[in-house]
Amino acid sequence: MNTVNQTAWANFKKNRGKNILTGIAIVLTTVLVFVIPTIGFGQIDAQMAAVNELYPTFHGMYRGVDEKTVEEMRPRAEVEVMGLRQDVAQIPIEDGVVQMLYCDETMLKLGKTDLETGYPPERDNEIAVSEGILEQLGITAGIGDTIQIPFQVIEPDGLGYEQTDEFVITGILPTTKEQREANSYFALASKGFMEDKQPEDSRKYRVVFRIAGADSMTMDAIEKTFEEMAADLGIPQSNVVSNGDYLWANYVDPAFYTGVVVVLFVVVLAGILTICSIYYISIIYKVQEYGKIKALGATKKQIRQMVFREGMLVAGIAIPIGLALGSVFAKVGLRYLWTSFAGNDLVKMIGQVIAQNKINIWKPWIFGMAIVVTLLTVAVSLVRPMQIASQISPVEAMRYDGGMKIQKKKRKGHQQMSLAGLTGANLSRNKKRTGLTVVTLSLTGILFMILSTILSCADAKEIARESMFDDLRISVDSQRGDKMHPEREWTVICKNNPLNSSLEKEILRIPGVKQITKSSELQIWLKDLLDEGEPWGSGLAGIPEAYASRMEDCIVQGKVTYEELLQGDKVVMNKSFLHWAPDWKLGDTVNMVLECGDGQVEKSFEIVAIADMPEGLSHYADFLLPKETVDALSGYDMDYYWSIDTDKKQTKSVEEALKTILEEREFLELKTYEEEVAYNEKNSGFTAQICYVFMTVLGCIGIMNLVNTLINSIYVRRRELGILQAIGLSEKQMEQMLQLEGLFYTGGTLGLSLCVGSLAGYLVFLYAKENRILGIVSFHYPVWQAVFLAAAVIVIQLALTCLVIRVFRRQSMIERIRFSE
Amino acid sequence: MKQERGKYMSEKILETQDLCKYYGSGENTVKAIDHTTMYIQRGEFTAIVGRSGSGKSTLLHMLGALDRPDSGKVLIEGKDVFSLKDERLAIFRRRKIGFVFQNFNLIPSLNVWENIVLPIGLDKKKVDRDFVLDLAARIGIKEKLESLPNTLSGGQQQRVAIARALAAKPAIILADEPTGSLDSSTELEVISLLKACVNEYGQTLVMITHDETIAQMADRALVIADGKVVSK
Repeated sequence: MNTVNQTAWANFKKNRGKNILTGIAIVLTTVLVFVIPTIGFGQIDAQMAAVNELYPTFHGMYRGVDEKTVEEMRPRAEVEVMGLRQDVAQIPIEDGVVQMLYCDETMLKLGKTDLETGYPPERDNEIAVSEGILEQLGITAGIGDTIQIPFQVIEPDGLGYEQTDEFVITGILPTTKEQREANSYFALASKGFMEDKQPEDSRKYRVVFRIAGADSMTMDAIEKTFEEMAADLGIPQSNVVSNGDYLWANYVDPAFYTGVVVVLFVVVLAGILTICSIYYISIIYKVQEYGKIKALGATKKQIRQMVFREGMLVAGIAIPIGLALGSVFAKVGLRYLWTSFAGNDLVKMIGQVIAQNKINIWKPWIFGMAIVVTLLTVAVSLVRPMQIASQISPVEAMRYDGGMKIQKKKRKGHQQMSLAGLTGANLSRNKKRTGLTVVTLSLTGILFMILSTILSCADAKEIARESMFDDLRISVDSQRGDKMHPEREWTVICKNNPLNSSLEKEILRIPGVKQITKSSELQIWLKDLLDEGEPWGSGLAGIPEAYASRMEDCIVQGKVTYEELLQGDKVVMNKSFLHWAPDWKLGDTVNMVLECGDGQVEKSFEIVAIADMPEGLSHYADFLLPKETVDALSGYDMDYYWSIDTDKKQTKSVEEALKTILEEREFLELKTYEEEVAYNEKNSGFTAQICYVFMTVLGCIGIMNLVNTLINSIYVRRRELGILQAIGLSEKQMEQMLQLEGLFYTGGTLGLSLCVGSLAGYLVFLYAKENRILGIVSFHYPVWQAVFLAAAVIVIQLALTCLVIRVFRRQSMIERIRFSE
Repeated sequence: MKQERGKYMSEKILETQDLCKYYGSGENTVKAIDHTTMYIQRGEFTAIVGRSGSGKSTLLHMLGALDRPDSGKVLIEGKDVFSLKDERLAIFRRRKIGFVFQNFNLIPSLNVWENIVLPIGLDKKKVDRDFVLDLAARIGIKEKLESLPNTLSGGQQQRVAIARALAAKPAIILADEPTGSLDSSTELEVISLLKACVNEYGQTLVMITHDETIAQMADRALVIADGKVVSK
């Protein structure tokens, strides 16, 4: 070991107090730097693993593909894997259908078709059936049994004559509730059976596939890839089906990564500030020593190396501890986050995936990144202390009295001295440092106030009320652009709208129902705004007259009344649409293609107002007209939402009655205000948990900073305090004085945190409101959080001051006075 | 004046009885003060002389009640100071004793005036403005009252320290090598000043020094060696 290393090592051992403090700050920084991305990416992995458990895992499917095209497709680079399905025959049953399908192994895997027992058929006369099929056929049999099954082969022009064959059961398929309800089942036949019954030229396979390299592709890119491949293979677009649920569930918003980076940035900044301030203040009373070493012949570079290596030694111990703690926290944290909140199937499955350790959240690259980032944080924090230590001349160093250089020559001062005067004089001797301490201490508080404001504004009930004006709402359950289910298109449903007068009468008969407020919706295309070359798909809401004043109230630009809109050539634009079409303004003409029941109609409107509408009014439509205008344009009753006002006491019974009514009707769904509140609560509760966990760790860093400030303010001045005691400062007075100083920091920290934090919180609220983050609509000051912050800062400061004084008292007065001698 | 001093001389203001203070243990025991019994009379200027490490500073600290002995007593005006609890002791000390240190030990954030009146303020007493102004004039720092200590020369700083020790009108001034950090011309000046002030205000001065010249200016010199008073 050379001298520089030896000295660094000796310093490392000698400055235990400071190094433990720095060590803890580094540990905390490491923990945060590790935990944040680990939880973030663990979340994504868990979500994907859960999606893979829940959904069929193919990206897309081509229908009606002939044998030749299948063979052409196999070697293509875009295809990662592909599976085949051929519908062979149907087994006739009463009021239902049983399909006999041939599926290859990949198809079964990608389609998540698992057998309860046994294996898929291999020989010509083998079959896998479900209990449901056996029940329908009135057969009691199990694996290995031979049964007779009637079937009709599927031919190009329909079903063939009924035949009966003997089959050996090789496997039992599960029977789902949905299958029983729809009385629709499927059996698996062997490849040999399929080839025997379906001549090669009549086979029309369904081909499911996964696209190669999809992990690094966006949802759109995946879809584009297989659409292009289809065009290449001559498969018409109408036979291309995207596994939307799976693709959507796997989709990760790029903003998520930005969020992780921003949070990491804040943590690193807080880490640098804390570690830097600890080093900076502690170097002050080490300077004399470095001066002596310099006098003995050390070069500037060597001094810098000593300071740097001592810091790195601490980091060398603290980082592994931080990583170990972080690993545990991330695991426990992720499990807690996903298992303590009830949610939909996906959320439950994510919880399971995590609880059963199905994914590895500890990624080597995150470990590496955390080490590098923390080391860099420490290195940056060491720059200033290294400069101070190396630049000071030996002579200056000997006289260096703790960096508390007093630039002023005179001071007005007080005629009578008191404790308060003494404290004030001490605090004002280095205003810059005192100010800096207060500012760094306040940063955590400010951040806390900002987050609290946001969380307090995210009032679940209020947000729910924004989207649901009444307690119950029935809406049409349509799906736009689902090629698998063209019958679910709104343009199709509206011709036979289930929200009709018979339903209305039925609902109004339910005791407790006071009123139904109806809104319409029309699908539109915007010709002047293109989305990848295609007109922009949007919605036009038709609001009832009952909502006229609500609409007029939320206009932010322009002016229009409900009556004026009835003319049919003016339209109100939703403010949120400016995000997609920032150039559109009042007075512009919008050319729309309206999807009416009987086809498309082109129409132009003048934008006369821009309104910041609650969801309950616009239902996410980008444009708004009176209901009668919308219905008149379409030629049909375009009722899409029925908001049902009920007697508060009877809401529950109305809900039950509605559920019963809707059970018999297709394409309708019921939403309750309570569900909406519960959803929002879960949503904000989840965010709140994450925020407060994050705040706690930042709070710990803040406390470290306070401890450091207090210890240093006492230790740097220990000689001075000793002298004060010699000339008459009693222990009690000393305590009072230190508490007063602490109180100043507390007051400053609180004042700054509350003032700046509240102001910044309000600004962030405005931003959140503007951008509809968390559905925030109105401002609620976080009173309880502010009280908590005040209490926490006061208690922590008092406790810490008492602790530091107790430690300080162990040293005798003589030792203190002699400190410098 | 002489007569007055004669009157005070007969009274023991400060006295030690079998005072002991040891550091370390076993073979490494250092007997800083070893069964020392001595006294100082009111109004007297006493010099405590000894080599480096002889125990004179430890004795002074004990006389000033800054440090507790292992055994023995220190009596100030007949009162056993170490029978007092810390809090009472601090109050007793600030009323009875004024300290002058070798390194001046002024509070850097306070100006000269504030440094001088600080002990009075700590005792929650009202400052006798005329007295302090008179004192400042007497020791020649009246022009510097608003200056901060770091702008003063060593001699000036020590004058402020002396004024601080005298301002609360304590009965005893304890000075620990007060000229140790000063050049020789300033040294005599400061000592003369200190002696004159103590005389004028009727106080008792105990000074540690290893300088024979200064010791000779004292009414009495106590020589300390190996923790014991060897000659009076």
